[in-house]
Amino acid sequence: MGSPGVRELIDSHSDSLYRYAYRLSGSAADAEDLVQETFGKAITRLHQLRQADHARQWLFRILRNAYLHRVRDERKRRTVPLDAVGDLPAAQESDTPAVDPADLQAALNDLDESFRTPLILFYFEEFSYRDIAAQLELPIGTVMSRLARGKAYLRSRLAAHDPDPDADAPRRATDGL
Amino acid sequence: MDCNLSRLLLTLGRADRGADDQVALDGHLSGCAACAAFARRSTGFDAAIASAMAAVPVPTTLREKLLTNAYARRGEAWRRTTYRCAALAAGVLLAVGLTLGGLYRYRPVLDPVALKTATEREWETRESAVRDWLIGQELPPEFPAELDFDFQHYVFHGKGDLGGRDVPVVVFQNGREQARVFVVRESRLNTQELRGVDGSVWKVTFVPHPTAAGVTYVVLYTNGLDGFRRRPLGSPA
Repeated sequence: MGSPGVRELIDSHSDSLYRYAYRLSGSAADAEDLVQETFGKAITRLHQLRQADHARQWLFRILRNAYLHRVRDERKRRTVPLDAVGDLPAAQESDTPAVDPADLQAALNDLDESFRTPLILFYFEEFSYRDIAAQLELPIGTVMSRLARGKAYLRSRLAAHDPDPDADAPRRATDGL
Repeated sequence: MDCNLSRLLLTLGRADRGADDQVALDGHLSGCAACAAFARRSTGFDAAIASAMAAVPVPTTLREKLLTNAYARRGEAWRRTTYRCAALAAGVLLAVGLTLGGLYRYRPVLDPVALKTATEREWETRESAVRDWLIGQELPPEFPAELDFDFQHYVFHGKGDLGGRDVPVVVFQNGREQARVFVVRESRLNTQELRGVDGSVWKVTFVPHPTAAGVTYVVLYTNGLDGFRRRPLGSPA
């Protein structure tokens, strides 16, 4: 299969790329800029795309690199350190009602990119662990570990807003740090 | 399958579980209430996060903006490529033009004096070579004054057959006229029989060397005998 045209790429992937960019950056304006930048780079490198069914992974990688390039100098952002956090015990889990997208974004914004990106890819684009590992160029074990910690963090963070007073108060992922 | 493995598999996405793992997991969940509850919680949580994650309104103008920018970039890239090619072609043309112009402007100017000098030098070189060769044959280096041949008509020197003997010979040619100058030692070749034998298109002359005793120049002319004398360069033949 040959490489697809620009219109085909935009029609097939612009929406998911925008959502990915929005969840990465937390800003509609940044998301749009990132998608523009991604397609701008894709057009100049279209000859590198050998197979159309690799387009999604390829475009997501370009977008993430563009995003990392932008935030490289923004390391001052305060993020929640999860490196020392293990998975929360199962007993702490509770059924989670509908999650507010804004709360989710706020929680994602507080995460370091190395945890945020796997979570977004896993939940939003339904990438497999293997796809995520390939996308981020990480060992699959590292991806599993980061996803487990990221999920635990999200559970604790979002369950904190759980209106159900009967639910057990979950321990925050960063408690005790 | 035990509960630990069951929960590990539940943390993976369905795409990462093999078909056999899925069958074993389903079997375990059907008989383990704790793991089934864990699975429900886990699945519910994942579904809620996935739903919220996807809840990003995409601007309705995004696609049009992307297409507009994409075509603008393509046009820009095309124009840039065209300009580069045009600039390259113009550069090549300019370089070729300058080179040709330079070659034309600074092409060598023919100097008639230098040309005359070079030509005379070439004739002198021929004459000098013949002189050296004659010395090597132990013969007088100079022809007698009567044989004041112009070396612009020189074509050959070496040995030529005369009466069955290899005899030193110098050949001159001017148009159809030819002169073969054999340098003969009378002691080695009797030339008497040749004297007075002329043909319709050829003539034989005998010129003894004025100082070298016994050396005679037998000159065989063909088609005339006037075309070999020295003349000033540029004068009519």
